[in-house]
Amino acid sequence: MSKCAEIRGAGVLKVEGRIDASAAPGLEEELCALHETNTHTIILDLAGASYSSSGLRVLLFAHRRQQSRGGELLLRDLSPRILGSMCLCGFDRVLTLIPDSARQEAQASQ
Amino acid sequence: MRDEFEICVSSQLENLARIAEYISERAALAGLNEHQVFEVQMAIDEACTNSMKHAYEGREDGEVSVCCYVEDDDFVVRVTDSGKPFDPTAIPPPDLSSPLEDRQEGGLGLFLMRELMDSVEFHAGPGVGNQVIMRKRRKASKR
Repeated sequence: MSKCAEIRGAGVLKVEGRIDASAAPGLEEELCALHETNTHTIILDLAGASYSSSGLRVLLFAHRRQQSRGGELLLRDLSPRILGSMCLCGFDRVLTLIPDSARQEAQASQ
Repeated sequence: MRDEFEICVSSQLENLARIAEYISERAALAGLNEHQVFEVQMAIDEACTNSMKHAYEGREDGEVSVCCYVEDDDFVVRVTDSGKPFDPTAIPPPDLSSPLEDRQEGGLGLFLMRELMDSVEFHAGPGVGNQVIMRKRRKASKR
């Protein structure tokens, strides 16, 4: 479902497949594990993901956890559909979305 | 007589993917466009998750039935379970104007169902479980 990498101190989690109520606990666990390592910035690569409200809640909790410690959660490569459902719920106004992963990686490696 | 198509699964969350695949296929065959198929699939996922997690309270030996058919210009999906009756009016809608950090959990699934579909009806009663009937207009969708 997901693959973890690191870009200049940021933990990057590549999420693939459906994040429904069945898969959400697994993602939650991985995000908690990253949080426990004191990773300041967690980047979720959502290019291959789709989700339900269960997935949205996981993002919300991860955002709260990171913020509580002064860290951040960044979401990148959301498909227009996923972005649409996120906008419906107002998540786009609070979570930080990164549209272009290639550009981010280029900047991070400079 | 209209053609009805049905999938019945046990109330295990792992079955959500099977339901999504089945409904997406039926919705596409009924003439919904790709975007509408995605919205229907997402709404049905929420309804079935409610059945499994709330009506059956996480028990995995219940049955969830998802039946779909075309009626006039609507693609109609009926989700049925025999679990604890569910009262949607008891769930407050999420306060979308409050800061995300302050929001309470819950209500998001129902909100999404209502937003993604053109109509959503709930029927429930003791001993009969729950029935959610959702409609998606095949031509001019509300969004």
